[in-house]
Amino acid sequence: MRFVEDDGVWKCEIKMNENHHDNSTNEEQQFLAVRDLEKIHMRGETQVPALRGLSCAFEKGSFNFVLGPSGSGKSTLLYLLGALDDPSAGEVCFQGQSLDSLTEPQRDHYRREQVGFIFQSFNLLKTLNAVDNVLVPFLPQGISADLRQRAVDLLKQVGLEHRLEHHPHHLSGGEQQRVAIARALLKKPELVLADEPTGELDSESGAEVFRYLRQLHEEQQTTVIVVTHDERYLEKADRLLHLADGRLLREDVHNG
Amino acid sequence: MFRFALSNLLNRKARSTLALLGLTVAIAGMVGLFSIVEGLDRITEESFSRIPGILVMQTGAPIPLFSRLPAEWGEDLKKVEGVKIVCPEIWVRVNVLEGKMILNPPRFLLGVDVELWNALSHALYRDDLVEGRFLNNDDIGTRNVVLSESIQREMKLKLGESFSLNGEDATLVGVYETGSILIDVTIIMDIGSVREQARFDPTAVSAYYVEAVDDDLNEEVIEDIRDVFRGRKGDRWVPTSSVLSIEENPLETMIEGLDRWLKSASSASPPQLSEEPKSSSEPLDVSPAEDKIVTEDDLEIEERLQVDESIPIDVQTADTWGEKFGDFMSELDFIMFILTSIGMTIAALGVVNTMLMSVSERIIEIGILKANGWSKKHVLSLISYESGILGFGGGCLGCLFGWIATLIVNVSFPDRVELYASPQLLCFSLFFSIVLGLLAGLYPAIWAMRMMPMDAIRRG
Ligand SMILES: Nc1ncnc2c1ncn2[C@@H]1O[C@H](COP(=O)(O)OP(=O)(O)O)[C@@H](O)[C@H]1O
Ligand SMILES: [Mg+2]
Repeated sequence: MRFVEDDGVWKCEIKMNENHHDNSTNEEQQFLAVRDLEKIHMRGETQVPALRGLSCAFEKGSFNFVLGPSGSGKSTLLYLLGALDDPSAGEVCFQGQSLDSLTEPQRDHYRREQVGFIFQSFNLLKTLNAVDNVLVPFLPQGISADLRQRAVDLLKQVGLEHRLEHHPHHLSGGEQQRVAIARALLKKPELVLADEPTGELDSESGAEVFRYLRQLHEEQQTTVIVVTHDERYLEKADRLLHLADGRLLREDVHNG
Repeated sequence: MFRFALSNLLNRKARSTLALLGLTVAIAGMVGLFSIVEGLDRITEESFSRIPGILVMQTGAPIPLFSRLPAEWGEDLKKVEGVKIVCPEIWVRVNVLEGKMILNPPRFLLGVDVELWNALSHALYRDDLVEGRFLNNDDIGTRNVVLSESIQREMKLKLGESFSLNGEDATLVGVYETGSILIDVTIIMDIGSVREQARFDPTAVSAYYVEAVDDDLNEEVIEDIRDVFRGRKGDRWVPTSSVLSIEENPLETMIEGLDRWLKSASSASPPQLSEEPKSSSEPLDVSPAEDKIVTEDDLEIEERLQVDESIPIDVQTADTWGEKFGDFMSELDFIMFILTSIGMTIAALGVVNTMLMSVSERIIEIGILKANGWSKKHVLSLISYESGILGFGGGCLGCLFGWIATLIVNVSFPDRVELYASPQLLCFSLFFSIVLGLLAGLYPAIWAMRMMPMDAIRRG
């Protein structure tokens, strides 16, 4: 698969062995790509267009920010990237595969094994303690002692060693988000999607969250895409995508 | 997974408790209602299956107490081929025992021909003796009696003790126990003594109990007896309101009580307990076995009396007589079924409502699970576990409480009712509870599962 600009439109070609002659940057661009993405939400009878033909690509191992005013379609984009929603038109390609073309089990696998999603409102399960919340993706398969140990280690890594058995309502917002991060990291994802992960946190907890995301990105070359309002957390060489009104306004690289 | 389901339930105590309570009440109610029917069925079956012979009564009489037959017909019965023994019986109601009026449960005095009764190869009461002795030839002309253990207990009588029976002294010589509340209401005495005390028409008896040379011949003997008596002139039993208001029999008392209870329970239109009147145009085709026990309603009894007028006697095995009661039971079964269905529906709605109460919470949760890569199958099995546990728990508790309730009722009113919750009933109730729980749990789940995870998460 490759992305070619053709009359100003990005095309996602799903032919794996066609692009061996392409240069290395092109190879990396194929990790995650979006083409002509449209999404229309229904609010009762009225149609609310959230994305109006958006095309862009994300390189493997990059750290990306999606910026833009409220209502510009940032969350919608992220949900589509994570296969948590279906686009109205256009497509999302992950490693050359259109998410649309995946079978139901393949989609489940994509959500379970390849993408770690971090929500603004944490979305932990109220009835489970911290460790079990981290283990949620793998509960149906049965939890090995190794995996459980890994979950505990991850929680220790995010500074929650004294909160392992606590239920979400006994945890602060920052602690809940750290549990959610541990949950996203347990699967060793290739892609982490975070929708305003610091939106409900104080600045100290927010900085902490970004510390873990940076650490993950550096240690495992995970591709990270973060939606945020807060420009404080930008660092040099981060890629920035500016959205407005459901379209890509511009994209650039942050330079400190 | 199972642990997750359990922790979901335990961490939503209010919801789980409500759902469990709803199920428990529903299932306990179901067990209770059906145990009444089963109890009646079982009593009847037990009571009548222990009487192997043939009952001969006046046509139209619902029970021997109301029946009158000429005394000399015993000779004619004896002559029928295959008949071994014909025992005349006189049935009288016991109104006063030890100076106390007897209303409920009723008691009956049965006068038997002691010699003939002892000649039967199987004889009710005689074969059920638990203490003392049955009447023998020495008791002829005396006021010695045999009565049931429950009457003995009630009157605190010892063997050999005398007590007052309908105003005259009687002496206890034996105690029997059949365990059936329909049978253990009888006090047995020599037929001559009963006749004398009750000033019973000397040319009449109440009924005959006929033993054939072989129980297997019963059906043929019954047909032969009918042939002999067909066309013979005899009085039909006609109810008088005085008889009906004073005389009660245990069946009727029970039915009446149930009827009243049912009517009060279902404040709606009263259930139709009555039989359907049979067409009287072909009286010969109507076998008495198909008749049903009547309620005390005069009108209905009269309708019933238009049946088989050509035979003045009603001949059938005790089993068949029991089946008549069974037919009535099945009508009762049907009413119970309707009542229970209404109860179940209300309970099911309650359970579903409890489950739906938290549906938005549930939808978010399912959205989160799906966002974490749970397949539909996994979500379904989680919900099934949860609802299954609720259904099973509610079912077990319901069965337990229902069963305990039947035991309490049985112990509290040992001589009046006998409720029976059979293992089958309990199993069915448990099964029903699980199904109910699953349906209530799966409904919101299937709904939530059709949504994309994002829609589900945003919905909350
Ligand atoms: N599930 C939904 N139903 C209806 N409208 C929605 C839904 N999700 C988003 N929208 C609308 O789509 C537009 C873009 O939303 P969103 O992607 O959440 O923007 P952002 O995250 O940039 O604030 C907004 O106008 C929002 O109201
Ligand atoms: Mg948003």
